[in-house]
Amino acid sequence: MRPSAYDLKPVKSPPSSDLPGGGANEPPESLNVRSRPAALLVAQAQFAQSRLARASAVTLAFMLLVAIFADVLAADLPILCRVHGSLYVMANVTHPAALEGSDCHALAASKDRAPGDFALCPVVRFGPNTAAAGGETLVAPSFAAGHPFGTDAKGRDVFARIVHGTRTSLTFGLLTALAFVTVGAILGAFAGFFGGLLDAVVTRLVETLASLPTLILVLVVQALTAKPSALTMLLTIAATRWTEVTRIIRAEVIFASAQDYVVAARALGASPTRILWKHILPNVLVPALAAAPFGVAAVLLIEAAMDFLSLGIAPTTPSWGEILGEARFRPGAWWLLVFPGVSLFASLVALNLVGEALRDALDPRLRDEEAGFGRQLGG
Amino acid sequence: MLRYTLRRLLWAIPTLFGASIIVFLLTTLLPEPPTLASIAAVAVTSGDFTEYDRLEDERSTRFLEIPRFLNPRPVDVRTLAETSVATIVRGGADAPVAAHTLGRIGGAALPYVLPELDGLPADVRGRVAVALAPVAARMKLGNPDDLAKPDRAVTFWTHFWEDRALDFTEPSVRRAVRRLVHFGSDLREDDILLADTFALEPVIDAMATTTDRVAIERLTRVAAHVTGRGLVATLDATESARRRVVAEWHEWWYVHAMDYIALDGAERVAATIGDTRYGKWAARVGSGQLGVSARDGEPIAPKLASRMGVTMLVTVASMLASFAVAVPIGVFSAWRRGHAIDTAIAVVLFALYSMPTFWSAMLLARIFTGADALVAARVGASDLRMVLAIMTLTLASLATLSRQQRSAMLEVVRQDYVRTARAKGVPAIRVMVVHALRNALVPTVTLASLQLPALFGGAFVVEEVFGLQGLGYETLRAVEAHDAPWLMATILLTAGGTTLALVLSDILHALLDPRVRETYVRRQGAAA
Repeated sequence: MRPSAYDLKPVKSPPSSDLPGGGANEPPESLNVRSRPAALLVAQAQFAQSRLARASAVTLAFMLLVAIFADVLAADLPILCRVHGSLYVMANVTHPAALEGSDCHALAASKDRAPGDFALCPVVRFGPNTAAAGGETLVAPSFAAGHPFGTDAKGRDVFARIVHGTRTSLTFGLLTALAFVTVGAILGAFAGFFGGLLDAVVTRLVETLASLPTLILVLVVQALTAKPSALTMLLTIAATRWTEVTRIIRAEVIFASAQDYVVAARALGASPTRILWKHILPNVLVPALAAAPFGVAAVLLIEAAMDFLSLGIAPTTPSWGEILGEARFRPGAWWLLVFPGVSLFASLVALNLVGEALRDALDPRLRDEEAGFGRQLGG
Repeated sequence: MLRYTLRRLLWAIPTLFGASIIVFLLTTLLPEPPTLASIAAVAVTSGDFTEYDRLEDERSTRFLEIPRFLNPRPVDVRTLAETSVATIVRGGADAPVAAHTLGRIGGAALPYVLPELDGLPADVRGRVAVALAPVAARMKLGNPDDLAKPDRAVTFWTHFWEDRALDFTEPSVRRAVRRLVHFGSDLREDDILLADTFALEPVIDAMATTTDRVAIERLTRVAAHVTGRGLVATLDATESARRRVVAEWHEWWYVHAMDYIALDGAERVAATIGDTRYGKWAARVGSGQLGVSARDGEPIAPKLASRMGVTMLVTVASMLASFAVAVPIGVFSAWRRGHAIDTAIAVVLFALYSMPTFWSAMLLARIFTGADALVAARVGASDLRMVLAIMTLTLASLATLSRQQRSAMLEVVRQDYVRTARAKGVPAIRVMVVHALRNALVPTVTLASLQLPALFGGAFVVEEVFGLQGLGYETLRAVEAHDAPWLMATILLTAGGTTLALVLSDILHALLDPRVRETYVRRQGAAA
């Protein structure tokens, strides 16, 4: 958080000038509009240097894969199977009507299977909403029972719910962050560049919205809307969170506008649109990007908290927060507390580290004591 | 310094205004009752206006019948009466609705209807006069059969106005009400009924000024009679019940007054802003009337005050604790910069920073009180739960503060005066604590107060986990019950509190660091 608008930090040099490596040798920005923004290149190089940032990026990529292939990891129908001579591909995703009422266990062990029948099952043979057979509830983690992470009080497999919850959380987090980073960056850029009334209005709006804690606002909106849904939650979070991005981008644009290259472009007669688009935007792109991981982390946290209080996305949707919420009422079931908690914690750590690394990469000349965690931990 | 403080406080006003608009816009999320137009046709065909009146009451209680922010043509009794008459004259489908409205506003409309009666065409004159039949019934005048006949009704109302026009003046009704309060008698009560709703304003006003039980019974009975609401403070009612009835009448008047009073020029201008949904809402909130809870009908303000204590205790205590712990940690890791211990501290802090509050709350509960405490609000001494809640929030805000302290220390340590002190042979630890810390504390203090809103939000979740009956706990119950008034009050309180915390932190910063003050005043001066 930037302490206040009038902090007394020394003025920093523009990210694009005087760079180590390739940046300095490139022709001036205004002559070479086709090249990728220099700031982005440097950020990339810096980012690649940090071990921790790389590890976090790998973690995030892994979670993305889990989210994409959730159905391969846990589903109640086989990935590929032949039943009575007909072949079903990706039954775990399509849920064909012919296999209604059947599941992996039945298909794999069925006695009346025709010759040539087979079933290739997912790693865990339960979907996120399949209750365990025999009405068993709260099974402790055991590979023998086929529940590596145990089940919740309704007999649903925790592994399946975490894997599918990854999909819920990441989709929601990425979409929301995309929404507010875009809005925030555009408003911040316009406010910073054009100033005047627009700037005054945006600044007031930022200050006003910042006075409403997001979690409380989301709570109230979800309680008051006639049909609370993931969409209303997304919009509410985005409506308050863009302020953070706007604040950063606005400051960066104001800073960039005063630089020599902008003055030169203006002197050459470039239109304001061109200056903003070709000269300023490339230089504030990285700060906008750096805001995204923190944004996603904040959204994940709020979404989990809302689900934890069972006020979030529809209760049947698998999510980490929902399992944690259940853990409150099942004191003995440590697995309900540990597995989703660790998933959430790990993704927050990874997102924060990536964010820190991006922010540090943003300004390579930043002194160590001003840099965030990333510099110190990444070595 | 005073100048700076005042300036900063002034700058908070637009923020608060903006926040109030946002919170007000939240009220528009509430599902709205159907519009009056949608039900009017049913009421006209069936001739039964009960449902229509109920809906009208519901909508006007939420001020849905007036514009949101600007009311260019405020509707007072005069406008209402004139449009109603015009609608009746025009005839058509909504004429019965207008006739019904005219009957409802009654006596207050008469000064604007009866003098015009002569000027109307003969056939419509009768229709207007018939529409006033319910008013005569309330006044206990005339013969209902006669009043339903157009020509008789016209005669009746013409005579009525010839006889009583002088009674329909404000001093006259005020005097009548004053006499009723002082020497109440059934005769005087009937006298006031003859003015019908025209007497409502002084009657409602008098309810606030008198404490006499008999007078209040009479006043509420008059008001109940002319409005058709059965809200009377009888003689044998308890003192609190009587107060509640009077409060309800004032509340009703706040909502419906415009139907019964005429505006003069200045009032009309004021009403373009005041008589709007936002104006009505903000005026009410601004005067501290937060309404009653939709769950149990209890007033919100006192309940809010009683629940505040726990939340404030948790928030402020954890802020102070986190400050007290973060500063030494920050100083220590700056002193041991680059050593293994510095890195170890950074790792731990980063983990704490990334920890979801509700998760760490549950882990703490499990570690310190055993698994059972996870079930909210059941077991464990309240003190222990309170301590754990404070601890959770302390851990959550520790990282930001001690990192800030560390970097501020490193920044200050490079200053010349610190190097001078070192060169003169002052021990390193003394330089750190005595010379450097004083200046490095300033940004941390500011940051600590900026953490308040986040801690406040965190307290909501933590209270739920530990079953502490504070603001957050109560708010979550309100969310479950869709208790809108409570939620509005909470969010307003939060917004106000946050803005105040921001202002305080800026003032604190300026107090601790004179350079800030100068920069600020200069900047403001240059801008002006």
